[in-house]
Amino acid sequence: MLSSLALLALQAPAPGAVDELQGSEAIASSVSRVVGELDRAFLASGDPLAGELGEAWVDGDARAVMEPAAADPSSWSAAASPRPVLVERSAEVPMALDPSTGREDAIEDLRGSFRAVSEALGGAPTRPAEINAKGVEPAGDGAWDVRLRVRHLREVPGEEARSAKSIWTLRVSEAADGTLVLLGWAGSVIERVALQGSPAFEDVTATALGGAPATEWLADSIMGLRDRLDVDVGVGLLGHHGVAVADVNGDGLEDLYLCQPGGVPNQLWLRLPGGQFMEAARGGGLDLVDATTSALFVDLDGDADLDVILGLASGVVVLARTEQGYVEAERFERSGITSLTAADINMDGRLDVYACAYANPYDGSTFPLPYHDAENGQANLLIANVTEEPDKLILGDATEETGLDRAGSRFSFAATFEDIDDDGDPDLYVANDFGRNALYINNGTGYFRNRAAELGVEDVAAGMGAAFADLDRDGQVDLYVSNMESSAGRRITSQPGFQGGADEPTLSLFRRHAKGNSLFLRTPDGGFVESGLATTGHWAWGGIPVDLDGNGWLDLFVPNGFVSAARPGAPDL
Amino acid sequence: MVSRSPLDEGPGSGDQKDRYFEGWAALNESLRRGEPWSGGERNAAFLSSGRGPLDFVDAGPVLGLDFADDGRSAARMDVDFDGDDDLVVSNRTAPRLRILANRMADGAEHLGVRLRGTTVNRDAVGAVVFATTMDDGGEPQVQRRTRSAGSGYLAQSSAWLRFGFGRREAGTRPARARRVQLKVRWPGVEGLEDFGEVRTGRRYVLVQGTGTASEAAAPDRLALAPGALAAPERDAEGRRRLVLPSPTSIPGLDVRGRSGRSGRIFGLTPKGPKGTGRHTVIAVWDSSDPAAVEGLGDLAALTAEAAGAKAMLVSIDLGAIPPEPEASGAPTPAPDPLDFSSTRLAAAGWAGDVLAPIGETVLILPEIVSWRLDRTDPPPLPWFLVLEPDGRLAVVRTGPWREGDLAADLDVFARPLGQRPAWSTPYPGRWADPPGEADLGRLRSRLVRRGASSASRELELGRIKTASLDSAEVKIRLGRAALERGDLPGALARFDAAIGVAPENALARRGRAYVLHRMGQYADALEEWTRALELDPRDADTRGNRALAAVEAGELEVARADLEQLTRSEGAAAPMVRLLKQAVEEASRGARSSDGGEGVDR
Repeated sequence: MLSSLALLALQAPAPGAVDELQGSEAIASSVSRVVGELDRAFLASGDPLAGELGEAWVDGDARAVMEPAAADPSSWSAAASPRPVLVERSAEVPMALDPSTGREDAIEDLRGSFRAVSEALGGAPTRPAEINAKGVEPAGDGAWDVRLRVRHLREVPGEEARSAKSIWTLRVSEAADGTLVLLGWAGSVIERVALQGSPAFEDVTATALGGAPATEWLADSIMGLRDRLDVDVGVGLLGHHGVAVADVNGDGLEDLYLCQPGGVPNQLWLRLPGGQFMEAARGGGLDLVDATTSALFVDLDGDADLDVILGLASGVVVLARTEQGYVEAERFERSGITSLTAADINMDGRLDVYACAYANPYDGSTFPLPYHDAENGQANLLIANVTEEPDKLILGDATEETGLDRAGSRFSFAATFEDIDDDGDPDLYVANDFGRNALYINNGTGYFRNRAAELGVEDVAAGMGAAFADLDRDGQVDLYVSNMESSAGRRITSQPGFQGGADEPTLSLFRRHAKGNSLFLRTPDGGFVESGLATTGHWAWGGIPVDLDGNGWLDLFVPNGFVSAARPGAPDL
Repeated sequence: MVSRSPLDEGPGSGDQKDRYFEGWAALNESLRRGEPWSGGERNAAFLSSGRGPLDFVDAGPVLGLDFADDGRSAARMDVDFDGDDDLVVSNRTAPRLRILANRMADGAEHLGVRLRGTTVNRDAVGAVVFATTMDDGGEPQVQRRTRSAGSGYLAQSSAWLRFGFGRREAGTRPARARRVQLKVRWPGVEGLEDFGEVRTGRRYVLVQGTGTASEAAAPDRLALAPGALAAPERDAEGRRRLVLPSPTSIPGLDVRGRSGRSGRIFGLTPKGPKGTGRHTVIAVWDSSDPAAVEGLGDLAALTAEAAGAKAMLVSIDLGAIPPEPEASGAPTPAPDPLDFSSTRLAAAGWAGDVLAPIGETVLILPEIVSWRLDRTDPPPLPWFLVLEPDGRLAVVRTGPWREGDLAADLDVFARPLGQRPAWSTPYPGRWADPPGEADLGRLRSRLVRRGASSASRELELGRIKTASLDSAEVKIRLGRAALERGDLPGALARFDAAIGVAPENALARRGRAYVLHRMGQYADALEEWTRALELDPRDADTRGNRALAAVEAGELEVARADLEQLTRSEGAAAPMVRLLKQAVEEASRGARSSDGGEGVDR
């Protein structure tokens, strides 16, 4: 949610500071662009300075960095690595220029950084680098130090796949004509990762789903669909359509249900005994065309088949699984439903459902106020299940009675139940955009109290996803929250001119908003401690714990990215 | 934009809030133009080090998991039945689905467990499984997994709980399957149920209360070759067909013909939309583009189809700028550009009206097209608007016309209106909550921004026609319309009616208070402003107005208290506060000087 020059503030109290803020952002953006050009030249010819920029952009006064104390390859230390992945880490070279050197030495530093990447990769990279400007600091005399995180990959069939993470700090200034010139370059590869053996993951979607026409509907992007369908058909701009894995037809094989934007029917891919997928939403009455964000298949009436709860733009629709297929049983009006989660909150043997609701500022209906701690969103919904007979679902809104309305009307994206205090009843974590999250502790009767603050998991941020799992294998569940990590946001919120007049606690809340994902480890005293691990995730959505390498330790897979350009080449904001 | 955020939710500085909202509006416009924001970011895969203190490395790139998609929802699922967890990921970008087969864990030992509750919920959601093995040193190693339903983002993962035990060290003899002890804590049940020892490489179902793990047959492993969904090709000619789920009124279009006569076609009247009585196709083009006529496509086919269907054809040439008024004594009048348009269209087989836009029409047409695409700017010309006989817009097309297009549209028009949503998408399915009427308010806002004031006023009327006449909202709108006409008694009657329907509606109260205020009934106005304020205590305008009414009604204490509060919330520099302060001061001076006057008289 943090932004760019285009949206940067005209902050009232300190106009000078704002100029500086805009100036530093412009520098960060120019430097990223220039390094992107160097990288492309390097990919094309092996020499980063072979492109249009050439050596001309290196200033006459440029100098080399001080020789790092230990620059030899023996400084690599093998980190504890999950086989078959090998991880090595090295120290970062600090930005300190050596006055006894000259321009040629600076050029050598620059070329040397690219060479180091190739050495770490065992050959040239095979795709352009990922470049993130992590920080911009004034370096005196109108110069700036811009710190970049750069990632390269070399992937060649038959070879180990290798990635290299570098920190490149560039000292730059603007020449009289406004062009950028380089004064010094400190670069170091700080981490290299190698995968031994064959590809680890492969996209098999087309093979698995076969050539069914319904796959064509999945192939197009949100912007592609919006370009072909009338606005009222309901293809939301941001692409919030979830996935559900469940044995829908009860044959022992799990099926796949795909929620879809408005105008595209939701898809039910049944597994046939041979493992083939067959799209069968229509036959089951699950082919809703309404914009659907989420689906949850659970047995609400204990009759051994799965009922389904659907999160729509207009509310929650519950369909009971009957002999006649799926039949609408109940509907709860509430706009902007996002994630759904279920648990038996009062231990009566029946699963209850919690639905998050998101008042969408991206369609202009509500804007979060204040940005960093907004409570002017939507109330979420606890649907209590008091069903007595099979197929005759009796459900009601019990949000207030369960105390689940106490953390206010926020902008909720995700929620998940887990018995975090091991007292036998499910507790509930809710991740909110634009503010603090809630951890509702169940008192054993299905009444909840928000104790996020005292347990240290308020995680004031742009929360998008939440999952519990025992990540450190101490027998207790830990918490992983997917948040926004924005390099621009980190830079802007750390600048002196940002939100002039705000006090330090408020500023720190703003800064935290751009920090990235949060991993909270459960401590023996019943609280949580924020680990700082697995943080860098970009603009993260539904991170989940999953044992990717099958070694018993849960890893974290995190889908990232907010909005890519509808057409290639458009500059990122 | 974030740096523009007011620091609290209170009324605060209006200016700061406005800047913040402007920031959001700018962002939303940018996103609708297709510009990126934190786009092209790669997915992360944080691998746990699996030994020593907890540590993670983002191995996404080497694992082939770092797609630069706009990733959203992810779930675990064993897609190829090999016992490990694969991934299913939804994206905003194309392809919107990726099924990612896990090859990495193929050599590792696995165990799959499903649960069934008997006294607890049948899905056993909330149950926790502890799987214990002995390591080489004889130390127990425990893995804990919870059966959950719904976690991550918009995701429900597999009900199978999977436990991994890694690979045997290289060089060690392939041993027999490992033995694993399973214990379950059922939700709300004291203690652990022991299911004894099972072996890796298998799948088990644990039924609550049985204490026995039953082995479940595993399906045969599937070999799935790599293959991602291919993004569809874009239509190179820019042909689109948007079928509105519900036809909508449009503002009237002012046009002129070659004869020089001008008039208004379509639009809204107090009786409803105005149509031609026939299906009508409006072709919008620009004759100043040399390739424009070719760009319009098969006009002869369109003409023939329209004749066959008794539909009306209208062309509006956005490039036909009306000739400048002749300067006195000009030797020859400038030729009408419509003559040129007409000749070119006729040569291409067109037989229909040839019109040029006048007034706001040139603003309205692009906004209609952009509105239906929810974009800031319209796609390139030409556009075809297909209207119902009653004048409501039903289909928007862009790109060249092709033979059969009209037949396809008329086929849709033949369906009852209630079925229209089903035809608004090429993908068949059923609506749980079909889209309602188009939001003319959004078109109106667009037109206001473009300065098309007459069209936007017309749409205000349209909104009244489309909403239920019984609602308070409509009555309030009617009241406001009466106010705009200067009809105070009419407005009062409307606001009274709105209050009759919805006594707690602050807008209706405000409307009534405003009319009473304008009528000079200050005591009544003060009372009504007070009610409105009770319903919406944070509304600064209402408080300001109440204070002004209080000044007029001689209730200076009320006015002063309101002024004090507004100064706190809005700042002393706010125009309303300054105005109010002046009014209160003048009234206070007036009160004092009249006191003094009396003293002199005495």
